[in-house]
Amino acid sequence: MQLTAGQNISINRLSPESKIVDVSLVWEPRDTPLELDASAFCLTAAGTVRGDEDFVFYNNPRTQDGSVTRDNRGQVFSLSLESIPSAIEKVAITATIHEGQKRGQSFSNLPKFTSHLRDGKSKELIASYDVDTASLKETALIVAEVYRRNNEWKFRAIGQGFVGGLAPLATNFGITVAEPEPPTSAPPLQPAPPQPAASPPPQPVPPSPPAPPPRSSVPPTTAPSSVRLSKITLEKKGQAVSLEKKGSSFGEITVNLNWSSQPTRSRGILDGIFGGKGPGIDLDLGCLFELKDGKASGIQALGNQFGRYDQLPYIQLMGDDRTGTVSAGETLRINGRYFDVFERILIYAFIYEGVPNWSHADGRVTVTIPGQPTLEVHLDNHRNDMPMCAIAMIENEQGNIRVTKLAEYYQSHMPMDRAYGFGLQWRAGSKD
Amino acid sequence: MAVSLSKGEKVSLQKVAPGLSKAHIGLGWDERATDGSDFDLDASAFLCDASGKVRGDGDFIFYNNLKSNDGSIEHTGDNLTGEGEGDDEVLRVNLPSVPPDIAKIVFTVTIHEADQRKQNFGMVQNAFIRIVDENTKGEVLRYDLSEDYSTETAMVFGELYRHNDEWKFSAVGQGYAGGLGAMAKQYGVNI
Repeated sequence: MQLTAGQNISINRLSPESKIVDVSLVWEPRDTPLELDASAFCLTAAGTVRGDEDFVFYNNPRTQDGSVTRDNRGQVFSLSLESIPSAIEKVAITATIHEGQKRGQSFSNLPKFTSHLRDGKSKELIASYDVDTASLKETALIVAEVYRRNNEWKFRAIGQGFVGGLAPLATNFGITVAEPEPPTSAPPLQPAPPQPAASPPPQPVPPSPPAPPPRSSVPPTTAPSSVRLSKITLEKKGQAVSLEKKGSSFGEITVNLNWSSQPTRSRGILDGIFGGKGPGIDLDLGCLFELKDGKASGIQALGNQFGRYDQLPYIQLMGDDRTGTVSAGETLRINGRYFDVFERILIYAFIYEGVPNWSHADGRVTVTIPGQPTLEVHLDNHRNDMPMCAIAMIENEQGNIRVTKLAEYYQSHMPMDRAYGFGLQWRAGSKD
Repeated sequence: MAVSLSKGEKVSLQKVAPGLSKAHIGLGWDERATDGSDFDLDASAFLCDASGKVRGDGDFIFYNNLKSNDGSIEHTGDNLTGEGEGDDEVLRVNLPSVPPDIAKIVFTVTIHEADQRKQNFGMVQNAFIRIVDENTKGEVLRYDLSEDYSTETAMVFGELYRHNDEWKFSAVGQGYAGGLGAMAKQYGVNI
C-alpha cells in the first residue's frame, strides 16, 4: 500500500499477525555524498522522550527494554509492538543530514527517499511512503510515526522536518540540546604566526589524555589551535547524551602530505645532464603512535615501517613520493574502525635529503575524516635550519577525535620524540 | 464536566447544558512544530435551512463575512498561524436568536492553499471542536477528531441542529477533498 504524507493506516488491521514491524529508510542515489543518520524517538503522550534511552541512534542502537532496535547499517528499525512500554504512545522515525545546513545540503538533494513498513518476521511489505523530497529544504526529517490508537498500532506518513537539523528535531522531542561547540571548529586550522628566531625550545607535553593543557609560557597567539571533530553534542543538563560518533564509525582517516618541490630533483641518466641544477626536496610523512595499552611505535618510509591498515597498528603509509611530483603526495591511512585502540598519533614530516628548505617545499597536510570538514595545515611556519616538523596531534578523547595543530620544528626524530614523550629507541636509517 | 464525543455521536444540549443560550464554539488544532510552509486553517459556519443549503450567501460565515445578517452568529476573526493556547478560532452563537428557518449550523475547517502547500489534515494534530457556555465559562462538550482524518483538506467538524424544539450537537468528523470553495458550493453558496 502506497501512502501519501499525512495518511495513516492501522497496522493491526492490515497485518494482524505482525508482532514485530520493521520500518526501513532507503534513498537514492545510494552513493550520495550526504551523510544520513536515522534515529527513532520513543515518545510519551506529551510528545517527548522519558529519557535519553528513548532516543535510538548511532550511539544507542536499542532502547533499554529492547523493544525498539536499530540495525547495524542504521537503516532499519525493528519495533516489538507488544513489548513497547505502555507509557510510550508513539515512535517517531527520523532521518538527519549531518552538517547538512553547513554544507548547503538538504533532502531535496535526494531524488528518492522511501520508508517501508514491513512485518518483522516474514518481511512482507505492509506499506510504503515516498517522501516528496523535491521541495524539502530541511536537513532533519520526521519520516513516519508508529503510534497507538484505541488499542491498536497505526503508522502515519509524516515527511516534515527542520531546517536546523538534528538539534531542533531533538529539542522538539524533549531532549535538551547543549549549545554547539564554540566556533573553534568553524575555520580550518589557522597557521600560527611565524615564531621569532629566538623562540623557546619546545616543551614536553604531558602524555596523558585528554588534552595537553595550554602552555602558559607561550603567548596565546602562538598556542596550538585545536579543532574538535566531534559530531554535534546534544547534552542533557547534568548527564550527557553524546551524539559524537564513536570510533567504530569514523571510517578511514587519511593524512596527506603534499608539497611542491622546485626545482624537481633529477634522477638516473638525467643526473648527468641536470646534475648541477641542485637537488629537489624529498619530504617524508610519518607518525608516532601510542596505543591505549601503552605500546608506542612509528610509521615512516625510512626503515620501511609502512604499517598495516587492516591489522595492528591500523595505520598504513601509502607509497613514498620522493619528488613531490606525484600529485597525490604521501598519504597515511588510519583505520577509524579501530580508533579505540589509539591513545594519540603524532603526525610529522621531515626532509630526508636536501637542505632543509621548508619555504621552497610549500608543504601542506590535510587530515580527512569522512563526514568532517577537511583540515589543512600549511607548513609555513618555517624553520629552515631544522629538517623535522611535528605537524599535528590526533588524540582519542573519550572516543572522539581531537586534532591539535603543532607546527613545531626539531633537529631530528629523537628530540621530537622527547618533546612529546613517546619514548622510542632511535637509530640512523636509510630508505635505499 | 464536559462531555467527550466520538465521531458520529450526538448529544442534546438541553441535557448536557440546560439553559445554554450563548454558545462559544471553539475550534483548534496544533500546527506543525517543524519547518516548512505555515498552515493556514480557516473555520467557517454555514447556516442551512431544512434543505441542507444556505438561504443566501449571507448565511456563509467566514473570514470575509464575520457576522450573519441577524447577528445571531459571529466569527471572532481569523487566526493566521494557529499559534496560541486553546481555541484557534471562535464563533459565537446566540441560540435563541437563530432564525427559526435555520435547521442546522455546520462548522467546518479548511486548509488554505492546501494543494499549493501540499498540506492535508493528516499533518495537523490535535484538532478539536468544543462548546463553552459563555455565561458559566464552563466547557459543555468536546470532540477530538485527530484520528478521524487523513489526507483530507476540508473537514466538517460538527453541526448544531434543531431536533424537536431543542438544539443538538453532532460530532461529524467528515472530510472532503478540495478547499473552502468546494465546501461552500456543497452548501449552496454561489462561488
